[in-house]
Amino acid sequence: MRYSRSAFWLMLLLPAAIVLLSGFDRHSVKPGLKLAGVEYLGDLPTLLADKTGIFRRHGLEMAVSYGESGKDNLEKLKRGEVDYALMAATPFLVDKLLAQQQGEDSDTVVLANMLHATELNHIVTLKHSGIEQVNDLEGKTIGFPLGTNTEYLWWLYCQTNGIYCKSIEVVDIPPSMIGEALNNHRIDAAIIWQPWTARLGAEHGSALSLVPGKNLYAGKWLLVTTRQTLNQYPDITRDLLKAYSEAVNEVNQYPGKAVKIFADLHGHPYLLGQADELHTGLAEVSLDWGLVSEFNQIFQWYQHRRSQAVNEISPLSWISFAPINDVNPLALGIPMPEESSP
Amino acid sequence: MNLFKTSRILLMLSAVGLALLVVMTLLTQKQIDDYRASESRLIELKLKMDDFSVGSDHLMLNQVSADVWKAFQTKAETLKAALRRFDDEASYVERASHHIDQITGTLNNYYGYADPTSPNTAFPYVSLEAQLVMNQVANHGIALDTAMDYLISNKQHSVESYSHNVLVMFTLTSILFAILSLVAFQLINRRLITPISSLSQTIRSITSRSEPDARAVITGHDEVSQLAAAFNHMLDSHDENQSRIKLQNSQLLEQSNLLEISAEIAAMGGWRYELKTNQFIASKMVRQIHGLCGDDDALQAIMGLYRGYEYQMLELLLSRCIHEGESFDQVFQLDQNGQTRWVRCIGQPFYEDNTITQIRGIFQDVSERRKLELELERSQRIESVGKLTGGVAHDFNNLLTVISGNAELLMDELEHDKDKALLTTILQASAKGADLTRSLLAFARKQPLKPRVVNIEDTISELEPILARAVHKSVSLSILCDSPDCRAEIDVTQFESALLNLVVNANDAMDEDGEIIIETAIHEFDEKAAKQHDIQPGRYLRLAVSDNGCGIAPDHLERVFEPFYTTKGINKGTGLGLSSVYGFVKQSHGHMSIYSEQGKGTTVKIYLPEARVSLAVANDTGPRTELPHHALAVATILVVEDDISLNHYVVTLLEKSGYTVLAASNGQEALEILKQRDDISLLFTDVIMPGGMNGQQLAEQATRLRPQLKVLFTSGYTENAIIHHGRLATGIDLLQKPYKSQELQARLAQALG
Repeated sequence: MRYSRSAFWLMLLLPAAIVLLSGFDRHSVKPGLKLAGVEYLGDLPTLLADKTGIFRRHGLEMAVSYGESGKDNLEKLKRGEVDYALMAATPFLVDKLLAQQQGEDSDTVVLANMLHATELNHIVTLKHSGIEQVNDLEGKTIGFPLGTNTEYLWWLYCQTNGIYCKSIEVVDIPPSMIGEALNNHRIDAAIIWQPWTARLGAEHGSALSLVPGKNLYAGKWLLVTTRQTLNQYPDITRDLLKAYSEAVNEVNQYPGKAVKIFADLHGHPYLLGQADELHTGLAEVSLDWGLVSEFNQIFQWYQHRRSQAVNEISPLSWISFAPINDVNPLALGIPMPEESSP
Repeated sequence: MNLFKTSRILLMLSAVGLALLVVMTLLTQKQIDDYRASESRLIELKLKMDDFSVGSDHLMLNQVSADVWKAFQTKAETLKAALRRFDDEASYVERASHHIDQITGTLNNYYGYADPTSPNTAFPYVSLEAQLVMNQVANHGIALDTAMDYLISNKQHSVESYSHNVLVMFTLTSILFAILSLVAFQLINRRLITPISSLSQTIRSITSRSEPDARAVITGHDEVSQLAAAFNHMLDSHDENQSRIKLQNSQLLEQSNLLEISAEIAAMGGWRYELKTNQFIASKMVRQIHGLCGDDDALQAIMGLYRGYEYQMLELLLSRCIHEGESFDQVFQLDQNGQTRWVRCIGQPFYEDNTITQIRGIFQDVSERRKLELELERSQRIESVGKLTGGVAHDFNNLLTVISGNAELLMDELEHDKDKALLTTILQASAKGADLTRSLLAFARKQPLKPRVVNIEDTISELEPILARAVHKSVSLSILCDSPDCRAEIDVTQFESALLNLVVNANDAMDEDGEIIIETAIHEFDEKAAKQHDIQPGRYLRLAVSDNGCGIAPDHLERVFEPFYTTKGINKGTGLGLSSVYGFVKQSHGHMSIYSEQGKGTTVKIYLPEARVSLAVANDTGPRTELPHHALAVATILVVEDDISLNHYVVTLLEKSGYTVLAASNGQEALEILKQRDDISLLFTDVIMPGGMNGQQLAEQATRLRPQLKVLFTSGYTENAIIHHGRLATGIDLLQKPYKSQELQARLAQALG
């Protein structure tokens, strides 16, 4: 009887000890760093990792802030206000090209692409604007924040739908002011993204309509940091990618849950009713040919925008392959340059 | 093979099985891990190939920078190297490597990546819009691949995790099962085999007597413990039963001893006769009673000891008991070794199913009891004769007093010698009659004794001349005294008479020559002997008178103390000699025995209790004052006598002597006279009188009326009125009937004086 009791306690305590020991390792909290996200449905993994304790579970003491756009986040990153930033590919590439033109080298590097989405951005209008077809846009006024990914998206929309962009007046306007601008007839249409689309829908109801047209845009959402941070905190960077991998899985498996958290946190109650139907794109943590393709396409837009030839770009030099290769080699589809091989 | 060895072997096999299971599990896990790693590498390679394929699509649509191309080529070489790891599928590896080379070669040829100076080339005949569309489609394709990669990766991870969990669970379950088996066997060992071994050891300890009080160890409350407890309880019960049996055996032995003691004291033994087997079983005492030894206790052997009538009677009673079921209780005479003994035999039938199967009974030696019974019979007979004798003597003494007294009165009146001769004959006959009644009273122990302490040897010495004259001259008389200081409190006159009587009897037992020996000695009776002879235990003077005469036949010996029984010839004895001696000895609180053998002689022994006081103290009766007879003749005497003749005689005699005589026939009449007359000096009264008041009671009332009154009693048979324990009460003055006129006048004078 004594032996059987000992065996029982041994079997009970051994797994508990293993769990406790592994738990200690997980909860060894690392130095606090700052991360800048965006109040954007495409950035749900950041929100989920922050608010559901995924960061903490991976030992990360991450101070997360949520800005209005990736362009702002890039600026913060460059100013050193944050250590990691989430943004679309456009501002990142534009920043790189501008620096290249000025003979400088930006310190920022892409750690991973977090999203592949086609229905998060929309061209909206109010019914009284008289815009029902794509061609109805000509001669009208459209508003969106210049310098953001939206500008690239507008070019892509024009190219795809055969619209002469210069016949349409573009007004630089932040997404939070677009509703008011539409009401005031300051603009006839606007390019916005979720959750602003849903917000305008809630405010205007059936008066709001989406402008139809071919949509060739596939949005990317990049996790960017600086080489300085990368060199200083390689482990944290790897843990950050691991945390994002877990958060991505959560979002893909339970998108409705993530949307509800987003709605509650950022004050978008109108999202709660459509949480399970909303398309939030395919969340991912990857470095594949899609990113190279995206860079290539944005480069073409940039060349058209500048109306002049731009020096060849070397996108592989803007990417840090090692962290994602350490965390999930299968997510690395782009061939690594020889000097960057792990 | 016992359970212990089986358990040990199973335990060892379980341990070996557990070790094998662990090794097998580890080997299996390693093998599965190897397969899984190989599959993972393959899937990983497939995914890389997909990426490579997607990359080639991109490179086909867009001319890329040199570093991208270089990385692409490096990737191609890396993939080929990875393919070569799967050398077991060489044909497929070769084919895949060939396709990689074809892709890189085609792209290089078209875009001229090998020439760094070649200009950028767009995909031919494709507009910007088409290029954007193709790029977008390619982008989606990449996303699709990524999504599928996730799907496959997750699924693979799930499968791996599941298979790993299954393996771990299987391993843990197997280990748990093995541990449980070990624990189970250990439990069996601890809770079944160990207690059973302990139980076996306990049994061995008990049976080998090394530890008779050993008990099984009880370790819990399971079935084996209950078995051990029950076993212990059984042992306790067994021990208790053993103790009880020992106690019962002890009690049985004690009872047997007590029974043996009872049998020994009662001289009684049991027997049983089995009718079916003719087996006769008797106790040791039965053999002892019949003087048998060893195992010689057969019924015929015992019955053969009885002779004649006794044998026939015993046989008859047994036969009736066996055949008719009649119980019997009979005393048989057993003559054996010249001795006669009496044996009581009781027999009772014992029935089983209404059939007599046994005769059970006892033999008891009742010789002693029989002797006592005979002694009692004789004592009772003597007692009866004594009472009868006493009653006759009373009346006879009155008659003799009247006859002799009147004859004396007539003697004074008659003048002729011839008439006086006749009166003399009457007086002599009266004297013989008086002797006869004295002997009768002596035998009946009713004669008033006046004992005093005397030295026996002195008394015998003083009597020796008289004794010598009582025997023939040819008979020698020897006196052998061995008790010089022995004293006894006896009536000397009666003692002398008794001794003379014994000597005369001894003399009569011899024809001419012979020898008579008188011996004295001290004899001490213990409690048992004293009780047997109805006397007090203590020291006694033994007086033995022996002769070597003709002796007495045994059948006569028992009756020699009876009155009027004599072995002498006709007119040679009255038959009152030995009986009067016997009465005197018994009245003196002594014992008398006789031993005689025909043709050899007889010894008569009398035992008298030794006196513990000195002669001077015992016989100090004080001085006596003698007064002249003539001074008393003027006194008035009240005579109380119920016998009219005797009353008349006494009155006549006293009046002739000069006394004033008043007569009364009973006590009441006498008291009336006393109340009327105050000049009465002496009361002369009979002791035994009718009317409810005897002489003693009359004297008491009379002296209360007249304290100065003198009293003289007279009696022929006093019973208990004035005699206590055979002796006169203190202060009593008695004149024994029959008395002569001179005796009466002398005693009156003495009383009045």
